[in-house]
Amino acid sequence: MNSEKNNQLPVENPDNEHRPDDDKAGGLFWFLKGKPFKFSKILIVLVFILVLTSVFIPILVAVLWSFVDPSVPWSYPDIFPKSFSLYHWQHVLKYGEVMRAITTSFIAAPITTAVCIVLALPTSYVLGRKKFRGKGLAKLIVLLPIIMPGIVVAMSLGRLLNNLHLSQTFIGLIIAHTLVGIPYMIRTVTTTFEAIPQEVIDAAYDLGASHFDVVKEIYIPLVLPGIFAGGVFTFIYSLEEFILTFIVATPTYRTIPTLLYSYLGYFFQRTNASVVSIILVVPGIVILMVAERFLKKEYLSSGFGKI
Amino acid sequence: MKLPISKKNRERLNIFLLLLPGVGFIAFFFISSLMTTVIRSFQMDGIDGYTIANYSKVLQPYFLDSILYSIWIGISSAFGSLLFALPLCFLMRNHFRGKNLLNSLIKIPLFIPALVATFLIVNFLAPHGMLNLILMRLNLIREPLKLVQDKYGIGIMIIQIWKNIPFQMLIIMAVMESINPALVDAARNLGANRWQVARHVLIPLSMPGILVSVILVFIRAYGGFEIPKLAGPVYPIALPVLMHTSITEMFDWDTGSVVGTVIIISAMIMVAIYTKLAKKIQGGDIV
Repeated sequence: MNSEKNNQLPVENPDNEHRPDDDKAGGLFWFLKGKPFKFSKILIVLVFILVLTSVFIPILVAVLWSFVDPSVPWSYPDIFPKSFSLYHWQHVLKYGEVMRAITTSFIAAPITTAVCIVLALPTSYVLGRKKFRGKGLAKLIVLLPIIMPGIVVAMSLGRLLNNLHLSQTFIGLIIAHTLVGIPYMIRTVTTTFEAIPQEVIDAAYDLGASHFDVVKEIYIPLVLPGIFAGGVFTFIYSLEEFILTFIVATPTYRTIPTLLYSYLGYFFQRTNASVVSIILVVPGIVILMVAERFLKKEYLSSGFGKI
Repeated sequence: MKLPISKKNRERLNIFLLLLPGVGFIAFFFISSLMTTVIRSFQMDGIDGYTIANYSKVLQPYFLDSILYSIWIGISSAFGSLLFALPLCFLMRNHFRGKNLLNSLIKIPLFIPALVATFLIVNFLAPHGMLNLILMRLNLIREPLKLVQDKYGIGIMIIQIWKNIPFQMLIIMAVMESINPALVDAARNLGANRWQVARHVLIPLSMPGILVSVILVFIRAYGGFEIPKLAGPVYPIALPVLMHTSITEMFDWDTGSVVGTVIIISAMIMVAIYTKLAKKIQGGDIV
């Protein structure tokens, strides 16, 4: 702010003043008129094209690969495959390992979500509604698993679970997934607990409500959206979790991401990887798109952002 | 049943017991296991007591190269994606037709896990991927460009930037929205144009958010395993990949735990900076 005092800003004519509304009227050759930093249609169209190409082309290429006809190879100089078939989809889904991985993933995700809700609720209640010494430390402990790189967590947890005879077990897999999901659950539910005004609770008690009434009429309805939002994210992060599962439970248990990883390694199997990628991404996108319609923005940004 | 303790202590006990399921779970499975890795780095196979021999053993060119490589990946990804995210944030402050559509399109990479993003981009940039096919068909290049598994980490950088632009935008836009609009109006009324408003009002006030986004992307790129493993070169290898190979392929916990400790300490430094910055953000709703 201080620097503004130093450089005397030239006072512009009111004509040159830009308001958000006059962007709509921005001429095609705005840059010739010497108006700096004026957004106009052409810039927006360029941004649209750039975003569309950079986001969609890689996705499109993978979708094309999943439908390539194995009898007509797709190679140089063809930019698009010459023939399409459902062969790879049928082939991959016929593999026992793919169906097993899908089943494992979709069993682990709801269990992880349930475990996260049960473990997170009491903690979130305390973090959201009570004042006590060491609260900052508790919040820091909840933040740490989000920032700590997965590889060190995976390796260290793998060693610990090995000592507890839990590696390569389903319980170990759930512990790993819960560790990834629980910080998001605690943070979203804590936010909802914090948002309940104390006056509402005090008023309820003044009007003669019992503890049970307060929980039933105030806490549960007001906290439920937070639990739902947290649940969306723990479910999706459990589906997508790779490195911890890979270290702790593979090869006994394979989930969709660890299977995908096996297609990407030394034997790069494009077609299989394309099919499995689509299987992995679509449920997450559908759930999040639906959730975005129903949930408040702040829950989504705290979960999306992975912060 | 009444416990023979004072009311204040009972309250404290209650708080402790309620914290236990969540924070206790994290403390037991996360903090204790990381601590054992750190402690392990001061122990050697077959030798009692504590020693720093592992560190001196590891201090070799390949290890230093790995550290530098990881730092390079982190910095280039963090600032590379900021280069796109910041202008897009300013664009999104304007009203225009199709803004909501553009907003949803930009967000798509957020929905895509790192492993899938790696596959998508590697598949596109690979020597026989679509990009090289198109460039060769247009006679712009003779031989396929080596964009993945290259020693400068260009492939890794592209994947990280692709994935992290919307992530950074989410943080920066949240902070920009919390800026008091009266300040922008005041600057406008004093005759500042868009550029001056951006430079003297919006950027300084959203600086904590910008720095938080840079730090978070840095640590994700620095500590990410899948992307350098699949899109990185044979040498130098990123720290997370080094840790993984030393432990799972060489069964060398001496080296692995030292690399792990380096990653843990780097992450803790980032956490310290992050919590400092997050306090400066108005409302602090990012913390």
